[in-house]
Amino acid sequence: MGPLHRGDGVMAAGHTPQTRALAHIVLVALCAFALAPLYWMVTTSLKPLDEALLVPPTLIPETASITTYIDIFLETMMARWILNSLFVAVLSASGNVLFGALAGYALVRIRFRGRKVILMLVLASFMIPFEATFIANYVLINDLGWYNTYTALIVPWMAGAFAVFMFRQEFLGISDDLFDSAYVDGSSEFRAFWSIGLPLVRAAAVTVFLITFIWSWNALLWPLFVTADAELRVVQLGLVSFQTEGAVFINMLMAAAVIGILPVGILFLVGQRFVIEGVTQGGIK
Amino acid sequence: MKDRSSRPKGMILGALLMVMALIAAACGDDEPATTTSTPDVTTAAPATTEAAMEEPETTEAAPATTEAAMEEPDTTEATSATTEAAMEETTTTTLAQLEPATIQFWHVYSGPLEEAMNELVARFEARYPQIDVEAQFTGGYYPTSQKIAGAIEADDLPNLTVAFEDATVNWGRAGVLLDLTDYVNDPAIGVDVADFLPVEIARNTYLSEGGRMLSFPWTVAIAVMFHNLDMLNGLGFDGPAETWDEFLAQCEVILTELNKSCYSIQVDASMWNATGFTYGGFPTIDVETRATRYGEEPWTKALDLFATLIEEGYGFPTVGRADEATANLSDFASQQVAYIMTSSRWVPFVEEGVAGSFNWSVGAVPQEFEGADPVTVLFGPNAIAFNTTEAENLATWELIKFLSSADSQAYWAATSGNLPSRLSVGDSAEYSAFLETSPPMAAAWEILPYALSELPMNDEGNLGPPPFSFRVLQQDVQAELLTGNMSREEAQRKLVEDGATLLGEYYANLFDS
Repeated sequence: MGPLHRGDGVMAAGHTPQTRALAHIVLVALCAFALAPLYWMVTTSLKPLDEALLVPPTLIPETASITTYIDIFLETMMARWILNSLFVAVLSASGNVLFGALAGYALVRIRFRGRKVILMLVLASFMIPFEATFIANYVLINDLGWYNTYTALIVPWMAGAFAVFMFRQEFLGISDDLFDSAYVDGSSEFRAFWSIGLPLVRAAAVTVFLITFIWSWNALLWPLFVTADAELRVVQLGLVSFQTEGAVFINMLMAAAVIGILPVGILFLVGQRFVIEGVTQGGIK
Repeated sequence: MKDRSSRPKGMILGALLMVMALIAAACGDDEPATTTSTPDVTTAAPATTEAAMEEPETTEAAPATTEAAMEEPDTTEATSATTEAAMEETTTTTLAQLEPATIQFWHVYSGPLEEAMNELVARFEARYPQIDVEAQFTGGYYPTSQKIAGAIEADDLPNLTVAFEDATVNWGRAGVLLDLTDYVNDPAIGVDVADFLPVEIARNTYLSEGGRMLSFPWTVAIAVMFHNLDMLNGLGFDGPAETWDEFLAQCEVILTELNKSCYSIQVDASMWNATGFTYGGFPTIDVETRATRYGEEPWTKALDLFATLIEEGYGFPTVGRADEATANLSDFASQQVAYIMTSSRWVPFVEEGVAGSFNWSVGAVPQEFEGADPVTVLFGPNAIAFNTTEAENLATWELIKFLSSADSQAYWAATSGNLPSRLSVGDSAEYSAFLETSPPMAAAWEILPYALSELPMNDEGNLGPPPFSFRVLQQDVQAELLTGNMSREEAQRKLVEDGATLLGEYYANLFDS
């Protein structure tokens, strides 16, 4: 008996017109379910407050307008907050790629005592929740004199266990022969990392960049802790400010949320292929 | 070579990941909590002040009693001028004595409220040029308390914040608060506490902490009944119900004639207490026995009322809706109901939400009997100072005094929708003019003198603020009762039993440690 192919036996059962139609219906329903909050968010952002509060809600805005968006940019520092978030997230994510790749490479390619212990410690740190460490981190940032600076927003998040683990898994899959030939050609260890290793883990690099970018972009508590000035606020902190003491201007909050997620959405659209490849490969190895 | 057949799967996976990323990006967090407590309250007296302040003038002149203040709200300009003059005089005195200082003020006000707060700070800095106030929005109450927990560990506390009584007790026990008692009573730099709502002075006096003032009144809000006047008038009612019996009668007509529920019930401990207080269910806690009073008759009546509202279809809870307070407002703005009970602080939001589409106003919570005082609950954060340096402590006290002055409170109340905790604000031209433009706030101002604190208290002070977990218990039981998952008897039993366990442990820690 030969190997199973598409269209053979059991596999074929999943591809009859009826089951395919059913699969599409289920997928469309799931997509609609997943997209409904986004649709609600966008449409609410286009409504005036009185319409945004209507029960039952209007599915299509009766008086759609971008006034709320204009108000947000005119009356708040949203543009500044977006730039702050971009600045912080790009540097944090870049740091994760650089330091994660270096550490991952070292853990795979360089033989040294305690390598496994270090790997275990790195992985263990991944399991400690942020909430358990943030007061200690806050004290440290304060002692370093970094309170209310961009440094406090960026530096603590420039390296992380997730990135180290992802890169380690990627480097494990690269043949030693490639590096050996580089050494024969007189390449240094860093040169081998930079010219041979890094290009081969491009997908993981993009994955790490995107995921840590999103983490950084979504951070709320840490920026709240270590900043004081409105000029240093990031987008998520800006969003909180639309929830005033006591009540929420829901249309403004949703407009701000739309503005807040757009950069992440665009970035993800651009890099989604790498994320899928990176996550899949990382999972296989 | 890539397998082309994997592309559609990749696209679907990509689309799903995209959606998840967008949803993740839209997420945030905010939740309430309490901090741990350790003993020892810091008592920092204004040691240098008596020598420094030679002229024992108090800053604010004001009527002494609630009645006087409420009955004569229109001597505004003269009183305001007198207050201004008095403040100028005292300001000149203290101005030369205050050392330069930078005050860190962590607060919870954002958007228009942050602008209003910044304006008050600017006014303060103009009056005291040598004092620099760094006012910072630090998120809601929970993030702010978390930030303060970090600041305590880092020994880098702000000078001033706004918070509630349970947090105040915890910080007091941690020994980081500035005891304001001596500042308040100091003949040179103190304030006339008789001008404040008596309940506010008592609320900020902690009998569990030796009767010290660990916080100071800021602004307040009360539970009120928002009602749709057009709907009520259209059904032949002159106005909102004054008693619960009248309320139920109106609800029956609304259900019969309009096929609508009359009341969207917000699951909220304060609104729950407001209802119970109208039956005489104050206080909810007996501190001596460390137990709740939910097993007593007033609460039996209150819980029966809730059960009746649900059983008859007169009301429905906001349980399960993302933001219950906003859901409450949505129901009212959409004319799904005739009544909602919520904070007077919501008047500006209701104005914007209704956007003139119907006539509405604010009234007292219906009472048990006709002619009864319009009892309700009062709540709101207090000003809390942390003990830092002598110069900063004095400057912080000046800032607290400034923020609680009649002029500042008039401005803050008119711009924020909060109510003043100071009686003479009713005499201010600014606040009187504001009340004329806002009948709902004027109605709330009229009810304010009858409002009770939710804390267990006597006339001298609060007997021991309960933990936040007690509010959670109240709200959990309320939700179960209103969704029909718990009978009135079961609800009372749970409140009594679980309440006793919770409060027993809490007060043992508070009083016996």
